[in-house]
Amino acid sequence: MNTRPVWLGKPRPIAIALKALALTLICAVVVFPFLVVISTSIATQQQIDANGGYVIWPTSVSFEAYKEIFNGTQVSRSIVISVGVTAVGTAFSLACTVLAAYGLSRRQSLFQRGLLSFVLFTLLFAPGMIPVYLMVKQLGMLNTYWSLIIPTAVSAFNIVIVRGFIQAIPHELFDAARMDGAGEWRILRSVVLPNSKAVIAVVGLFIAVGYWNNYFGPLLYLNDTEMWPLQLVMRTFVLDNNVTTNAQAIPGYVAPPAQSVQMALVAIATLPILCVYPFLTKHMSKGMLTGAIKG
Amino acid sequence: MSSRISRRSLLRSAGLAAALAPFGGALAACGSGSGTRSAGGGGSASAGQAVPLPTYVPPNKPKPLYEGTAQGVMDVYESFPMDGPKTVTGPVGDGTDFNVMIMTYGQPAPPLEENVYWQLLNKELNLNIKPVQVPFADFQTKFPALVAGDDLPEFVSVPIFQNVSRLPQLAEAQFTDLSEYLSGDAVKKYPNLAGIQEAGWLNGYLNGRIYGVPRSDPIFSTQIYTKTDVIEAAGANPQPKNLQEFRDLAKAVTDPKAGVYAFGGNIAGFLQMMFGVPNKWTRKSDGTFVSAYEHEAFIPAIAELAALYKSGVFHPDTATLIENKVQRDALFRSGKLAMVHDGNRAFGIVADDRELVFDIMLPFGKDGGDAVHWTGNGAYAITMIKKTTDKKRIDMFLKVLDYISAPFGTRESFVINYGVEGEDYTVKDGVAVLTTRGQREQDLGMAYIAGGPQVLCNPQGTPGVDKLNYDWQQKVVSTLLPNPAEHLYSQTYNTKGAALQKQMDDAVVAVFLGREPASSLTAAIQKWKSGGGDQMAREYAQAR
Amino acid sequence: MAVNQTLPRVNPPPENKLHTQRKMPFLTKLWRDSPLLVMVAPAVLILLLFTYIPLLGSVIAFMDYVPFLGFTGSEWVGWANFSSLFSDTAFWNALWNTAQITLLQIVLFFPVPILLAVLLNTVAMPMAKRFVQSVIYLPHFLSWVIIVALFQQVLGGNGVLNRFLLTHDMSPFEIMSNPDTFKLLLTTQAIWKDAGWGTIIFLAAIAAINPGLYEAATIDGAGAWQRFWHVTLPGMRPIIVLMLILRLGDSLTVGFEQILLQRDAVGPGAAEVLDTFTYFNGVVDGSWGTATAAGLLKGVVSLLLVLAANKLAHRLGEEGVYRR
Repeated sequence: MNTRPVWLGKPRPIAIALKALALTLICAVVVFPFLVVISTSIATQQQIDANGGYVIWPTSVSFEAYKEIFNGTQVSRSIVISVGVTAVGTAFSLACTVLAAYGLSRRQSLFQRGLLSFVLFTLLFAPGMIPVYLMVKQLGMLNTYWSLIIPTAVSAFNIVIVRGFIQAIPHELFDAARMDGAGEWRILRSVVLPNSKAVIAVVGLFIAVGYWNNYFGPLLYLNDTEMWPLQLVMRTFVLDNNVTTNAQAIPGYVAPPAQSVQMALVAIATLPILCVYPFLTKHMSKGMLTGAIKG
Repeated sequence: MSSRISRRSLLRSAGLAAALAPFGGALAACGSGSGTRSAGGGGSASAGQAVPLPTYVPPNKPKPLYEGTAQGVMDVYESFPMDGPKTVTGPVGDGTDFNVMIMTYGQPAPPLEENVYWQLLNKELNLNIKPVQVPFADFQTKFPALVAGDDLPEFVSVPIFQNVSRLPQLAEAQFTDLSEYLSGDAVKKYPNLAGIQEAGWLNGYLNGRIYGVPRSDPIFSTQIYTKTDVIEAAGANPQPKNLQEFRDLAKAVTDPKAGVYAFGGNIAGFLQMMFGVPNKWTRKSDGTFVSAYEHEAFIPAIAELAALYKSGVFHPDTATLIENKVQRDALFRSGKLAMVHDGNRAFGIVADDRELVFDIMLPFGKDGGDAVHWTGNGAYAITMIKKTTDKKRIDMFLKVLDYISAPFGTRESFVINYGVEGEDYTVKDGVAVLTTRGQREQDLGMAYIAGGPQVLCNPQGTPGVDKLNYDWQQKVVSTLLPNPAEHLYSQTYNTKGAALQKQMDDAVVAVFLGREPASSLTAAIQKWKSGGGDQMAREYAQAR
Repeated sequence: MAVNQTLPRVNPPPENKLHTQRKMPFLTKLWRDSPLLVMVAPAVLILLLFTYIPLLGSVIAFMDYVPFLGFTGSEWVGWANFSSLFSDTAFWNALWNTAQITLLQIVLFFPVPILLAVLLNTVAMPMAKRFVQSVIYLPHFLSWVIIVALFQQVLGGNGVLNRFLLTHDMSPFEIMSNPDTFKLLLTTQAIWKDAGWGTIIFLAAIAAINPGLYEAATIDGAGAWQRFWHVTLPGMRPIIVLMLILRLGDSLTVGFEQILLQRDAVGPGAAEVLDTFTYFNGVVDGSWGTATAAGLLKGVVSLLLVLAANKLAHRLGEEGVYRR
């Protein structure tokens, strides 16, 4: 299938070849580390020792590292927690972000300048860790999942981005809606949202990745290890360089190499994002106006 | 077993260095004693009268294969005795919650309902243990937040190497002075605590009072492990007796084409010991303190380090990731590094590998004369109880620690180290063997919070591996050189020490890697002195 | 928005008739805009609670803050924390390094995702486009510990490259531990990790361009290059400017973890940046006052930079982050 628009002429073969070469090169450079991650995660100790730490192409395959990770640990539980926190957090944060972005997009609206400055200022000054901790404590959110979701839910960066895209929506669309007697909420629903799919997908991904990768919040706010999300549990694995040292003390039990375990964890932690991404690219490459004019 | 705990701990503190600061960590890890120290002794005038340390009473323990010494040589056991003596009689806890903060290395322990080891401990101790587990790499983040929010649990275990800022003042403000229960003969009420040696207690002795119960650590700082097969294949001598022989050894084993090098990390500490540099400080006869940096041998030792580097006996990645312990150990195991310089506890890892042929290098003087070996700080952590006047509560706390401190081989330590038969361990040929489940469940960390001297027991290692270390310790004990400022309190050290240390480490590394000449150290030392080093010396001199 | 003369405007003039009617009574305006205010409320509330009120805690920049003494018990020290920073030559060195790295990254790193996005946009085969798009963002998810280790593995003193050179009797390259090229190395690593990730936002910007403009341009006889120059680039420009200003606001923050991991290989002279300096001189020793003072300084510098950049953007007819 070829989706080349009619107005786009046929490119010269040499241009195609160059482009293909460039993209193949870029992909190769990028895929290489993941090859190393996967290869190392299924390699044996001898192979890792012989290669000085990391393996590019495994000569034998062993899934011991993956077994080790799920055997009697909190990894599976923490994956469920991470997925939950990320889903709820992204929905909540995205809602706050889009609402604020639209609310701040009208240049002549009441308090717009003051509120925008209020939001922008937070881009520049970040509060210290201890005062934020004390606030979370004050609000009774310590040891709750809310402490992972609410404090980081609003980022001025994301608001500014979404606002920029909303402002680029042609004003005729707003005017037409207003002629029909639509209020701000209906305009948000029928004009802003359908025309902002791309940026919502992008910012949603930013937010989701932020929640998914957050280990600092849980570290600070959760005392109960049963509530730990994947990234924090993973951190104990990755930083704990000697994950297998005591395992070696069991006769007849050959522990998987530490590097394999670490790399297997990287693979496990990246997988969910990998699954979400294709859904988002669909929205990202959609031309906005095509949808808008129909609606 | 005990040696397992010991290994997990320091090793991993070296791992921290590896994870965060691949190279500077080398210096901090050179000598577990080098970078990190808690406080003790005087300083604050508000403390009560200084009290005597707890009286040492040798604990009741099974007879070891080789007996250790009071100076710090560790006992050697063939395997964990299955029929050890019972040292705790009567009830320990009172069925209440035991909220305790523990710094941990492994993964979080499985939750109580799935964790038979935890359930067993709760039953044995008659408590409801509720740990707040803080990963070691994040201790310095979480601890201040908990302090600021007044959220520290009732019981708090503070690792010494984390160098908690203003620990003595913090202890005085928020923790219970245990002197009345532990000082002098009072400790005899808790026989296993009485079996903890002075080097350990000094770490919990703040402002002349006893605030913390220690988890003891080996007194030795670092060792050089030698891969004997690689060295012998190169026709070199794995036990050099002077600097020249040491150089010869390094040169002989290095073979760049084969990718084999003598060293892969910073060995500044080892060279300083070889050159007779004192352990951090010297106390002169008039009571003043002089830092080791000002010792005449310091700059020559670092110059020698730079010369060795220049001669090409160091792995080419020394400057970057080689302090990544995982990688370095992999290189050592595969024979690409002939020697590694590591904390004493790294021994456990090396010892567990049956395939590995290795030895430990004995300290020697530069010209073949007297050797010195720096001591470590004698404890891994201290455990304290939040301020209370409830005598029953304090007594219960000490009873719990008494149970946990039971020496290697006793019934109590068997419970702590092995858990539930059939689940956490199985018995093979009369020897208890941990299962994977047992290891996971022990990540609870209760074993780290208190304890007496550690022992050598690596039945899974190469036969004779513990004897090897035991013999090394026997010889090194006579060369031990303490740091006279070890348990003295200096406000400057406590609040600026890490930054000053980093400055000097940077300067040393710059010389080591040939970026700066050795003479640049003179200026660096001056900067260190005026930036706080001189002030530290004055504070140590005034400290009790 | 600046508009190219030869082409139809991307957007109509930004000011909307409804909103140019000034002198509306306050209450009427409040009534009219109340839905907008309600929409902003949750974000404002969260920022108030978790940014503004905690920011009051920054007073500890003027204190010798000790956590167990709290805000009320710690000693006031005036400007001492700031003056101890300013009097340290290492601080100025760190600031200089930070500025150099930021500049280098803006020049070398910043355009890469834009170019990559444009290149991707011209790929006509949807399968290939999807594939590349899904692959290039992957390194973003690797932690620096692993990325540095991989660079080491390939370019390190004993890495693939140098082992090859050594075994073929050529002299090895010092890449990972060369202070002179360290900042370039950092930038390369950053590009490698995040350039693909960075394309996402620009792809979204390209997707938002009206396809009608391309058609019109083609009818006017514009070639591929001209279309890029006269349609794609102007369409992306507001977002590019926005991202650039936001990056400037962050200019004193350069990859803390990335640098901390490699700092010792080249020494602080080349690798100490503001964040690592603060880490070693504030955080490690628990000097919260000093660390907070450094944070405030960063904020002030960012504020000045953003204001200046925004002003410049307006001069050039761009929207910038906000308009007065």
